[in-house]
Amino acid sequence: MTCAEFSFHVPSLEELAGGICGKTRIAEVGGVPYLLPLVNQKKVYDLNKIAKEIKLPGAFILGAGAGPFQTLGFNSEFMPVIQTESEHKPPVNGSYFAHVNPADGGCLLEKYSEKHHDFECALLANLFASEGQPGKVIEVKAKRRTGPLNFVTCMRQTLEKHYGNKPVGMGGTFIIQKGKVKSHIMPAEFSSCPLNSDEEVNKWLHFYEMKAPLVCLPVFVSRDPNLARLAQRIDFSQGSGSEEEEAAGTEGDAQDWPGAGSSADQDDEEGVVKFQPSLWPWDSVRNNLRSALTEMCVLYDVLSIVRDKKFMTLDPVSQDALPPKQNPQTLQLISKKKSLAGAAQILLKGAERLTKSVTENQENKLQRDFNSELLRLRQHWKLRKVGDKILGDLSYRSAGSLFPHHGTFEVIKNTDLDLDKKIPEDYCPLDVQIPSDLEGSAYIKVSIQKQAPDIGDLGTVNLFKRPLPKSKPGSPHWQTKLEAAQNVLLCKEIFAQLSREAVQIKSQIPHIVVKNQIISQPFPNLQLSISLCHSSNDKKSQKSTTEKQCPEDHLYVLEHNLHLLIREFHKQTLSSIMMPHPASAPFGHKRMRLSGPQAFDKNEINSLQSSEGLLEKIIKQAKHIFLRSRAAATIDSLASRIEDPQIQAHWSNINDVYESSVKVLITSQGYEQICKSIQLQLNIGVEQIRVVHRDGRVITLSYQEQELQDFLLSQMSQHQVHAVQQLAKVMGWQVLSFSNHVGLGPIESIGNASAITVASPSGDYAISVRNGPESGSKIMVQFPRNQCKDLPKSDVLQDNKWSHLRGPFKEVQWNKMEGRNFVYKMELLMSALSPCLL
Amino acid sequence: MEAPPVTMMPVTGGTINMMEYLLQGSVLDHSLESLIHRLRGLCDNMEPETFLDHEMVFLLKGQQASPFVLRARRSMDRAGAPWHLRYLGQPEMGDKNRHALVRNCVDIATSENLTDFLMEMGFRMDHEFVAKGHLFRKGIMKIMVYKIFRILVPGNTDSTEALSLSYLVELSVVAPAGQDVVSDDMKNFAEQLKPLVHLEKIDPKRLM
Repeated sequence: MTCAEFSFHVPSLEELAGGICGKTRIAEVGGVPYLLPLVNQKKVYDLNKIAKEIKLPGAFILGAGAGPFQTLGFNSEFMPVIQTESEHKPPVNGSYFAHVNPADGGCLLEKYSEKHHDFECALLANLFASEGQPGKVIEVKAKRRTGPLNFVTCMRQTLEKHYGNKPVGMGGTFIIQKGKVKSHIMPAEFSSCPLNSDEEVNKWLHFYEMKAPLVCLPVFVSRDPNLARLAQRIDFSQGSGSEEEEAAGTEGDAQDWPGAGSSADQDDEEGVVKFQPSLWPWDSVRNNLRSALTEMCVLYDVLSIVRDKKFMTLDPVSQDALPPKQNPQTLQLISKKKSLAGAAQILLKGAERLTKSVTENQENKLQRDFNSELLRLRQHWKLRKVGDKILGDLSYRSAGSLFPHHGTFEVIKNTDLDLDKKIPEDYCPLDVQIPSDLEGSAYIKVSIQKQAPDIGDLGTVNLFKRPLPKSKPGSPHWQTKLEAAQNVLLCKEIFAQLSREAVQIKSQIPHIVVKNQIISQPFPNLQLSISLCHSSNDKKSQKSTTEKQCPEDHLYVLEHNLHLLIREFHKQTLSSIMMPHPASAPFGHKRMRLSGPQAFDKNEINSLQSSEGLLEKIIKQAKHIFLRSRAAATIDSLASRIEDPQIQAHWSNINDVYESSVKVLITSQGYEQICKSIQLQLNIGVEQIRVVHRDGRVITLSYQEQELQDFLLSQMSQHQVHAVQQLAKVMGWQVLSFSNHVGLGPIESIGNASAITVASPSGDYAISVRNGPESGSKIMVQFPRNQCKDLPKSDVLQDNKWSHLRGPFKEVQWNKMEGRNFVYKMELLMSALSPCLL
Repeated sequence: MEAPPVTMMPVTGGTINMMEYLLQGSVLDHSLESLIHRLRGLCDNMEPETFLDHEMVFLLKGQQASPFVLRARRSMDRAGAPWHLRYLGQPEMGDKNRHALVRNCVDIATSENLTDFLMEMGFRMDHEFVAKGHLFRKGIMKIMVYKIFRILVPGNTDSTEALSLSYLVELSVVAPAGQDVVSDDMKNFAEQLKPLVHLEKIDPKRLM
């Protein structure tokens, strides 16, 4: 696109201004780069403002440009003929705009002021401004076209030829009186895809043939002053690529007719810069490029000849030029040495700097500063700032604790340090101040005593038993301090919870809470005491330390379980808060919201609400532990006291806190394979022991140890009789009668005696065994009548066959029998009475 | 202790003096993580809960100009939870001293045949949606961070479509009327959530 635009209507100039003279100016507003390849819709201009910018307010402006799409709403060609605003006159807009008729695609020319009342234009405009005075003008007459160049280009070239490098602008109006003109109109829509070539631009534009008469408003400059200047600046003497590119870039810009920001205002009589006289701005560039091309061609030719090696070869230049003394190798060596030394120096310097920084770092680490300590503290503890104090929270509240103790500690800066003295190693610039009642160390002590101690020394017993480990001279680290304080707090909470429950719970024997001790009686003559041992660091408490208690009465398991229980309790308080579902519902217990047929009845709700307290649980656990240990002791004492039969107990390793089980086997030594009759499973609970017999019988025993002992004794006596039965089976003897509970004979104080009678395979002999838990065993042997000499002859039994009848019983003196144990003795007896089969 | 459940009071108009104090805001999806993280730190120490609810809004048009609106909501991810019927009154902006929006509210837990019951009464369903998000609690304050899903096929909660690329954040307290002190707590809490989310009292009338 050239700088001139054709318009095709006769504007009545006379009504606007008397002429186009007086302080004439040419203004280049915007530029093609704002239109192509893509439109820049920010570029809108006001002609009144332009008039002020070119220091000619009230100027009469004519020229060509793009229509104000911001007002019109579409793109158009613009022919500004405007008397701009001044102090004396209001602005008059006589502009025209031409656009493509959306209805038929034809060209439509309209007067701008008929539709709008602003003075805007957009994107680009070539303007000629003057005071609008009458004066001298140049008249150019042309009869017909003689070449490819158009009228305005011809005029521009004429000016350029005449003035050379001196840029001269011209503006005005001319009229085409006859003939046709081919001209373009920009379409209403800006191109959405970038227009990168002339071809694309021409496709986008609409071309029309227009008939005379046409009034044209050309504005042009003979030569762009910028272009010549920039062309001069292209420097061919330097070889740096980047500079060349830069120059090329500016050159490209110059070709695109910029002047967006620099609305150049020049009088046509003045040249701004003095130029070397030259016909064409690109002359020097062309000359330089041509000479460069020549040189390149020569170089190319030489290289191709050299490559063929027919006419020319390249030889290295001999090094005779060097002084003969210096061996090139020594020179190389020296230079290498030098460069190595330089490199080494750099490396050494770097190493020195590194070691310095490392030592500095270590020093910094030793000198722990307050802020870094605070940062470390914050990683483990909750802190908040209140006023100018930093307060921390060591309570278990966030974990669900309801203990009312605030549990706050204060972080203080440890400044009581003598700067002259050497800093102690464990010096810490941060210290914590914990509440005085949480100082020291504490633990919960649980013990079970057989005898109730005198009520007088309740309260003072068991306290301050453990002497404190001697604290180091300096103050301990804050972490240990805080952990100890937190532990004290937890112990206090446990104890507070226990004593509250002890007072609330109604039990048959009331729990006693005295000072820091809770005493309860789980079983008669048994006392469970839970005490809080809190030893602070002051000397008074250390004095009262006594070493009377033996350390075994600690029930560490229960102490540990207490901690577990309180944590569980905490968790419960947390989890009892239920989130509502659906989410819009109010907070509350989910089950309470159930209504209608699915609602809970009273029992179900009661069962939900009843919960065991900490104390109840721990007493139950204590009871169980006590019961278990006593059962174990009973079984052990029986096993050690009674050798025949043997009693074996297999304890399970993994137990519930309220229940454990033991398997008791009663056997005879050497006959384990045949005597398996008594296998008992003892389930030790909280209050009682349940015995499950091998055949499924269940016997419930109370906590009294005598019951268990008696039961086991009776089982042992039964075992002997069972063993005889098993033995008889093996030996081929015949069981005549068997009874676990014999109703005859002396009454046993515990259990019942059991008896068995077996007959030898031939039937000649019979053995009768009676075994009682208390009375012991009594073994009788029955002989055939014919072996009894002292038997008086009966009158009735005359026949010889009756002599085979069994006669009277005789007691065996059992303790005089040989044999390890009862079953062995019995085996001996049986084999003695059986006839030899050989 | 919590306030007695509303169901214990006689359910007649105007006697229920429970008020909902409300602050609202929203976050974009990508900043949800950081908000949740912050809330976990600020709120009561408990496992973070998620919820998936289906809400249906019922209208009863009578002689009055404005219809009577009831909201029925059910949890889709917790089987066996009761339905929740809610009446919300006109929101009051109040003056500057009160930092939260206040509206009357009546909450009732119901059985699952609630929709049939409402239909029988002459209500008709106006619209429904699915809300999915996270639930937090700090004291009596309830913080809901959730996304609203449009239900594509009426009645079928399986095919849903997110309404926006953001999460709605609601801070609410249900308290007896006149306890404007709670709004101060809410304001303090909302301050602590800045600049992750700005909770404000938003007048729904202005948005219409």
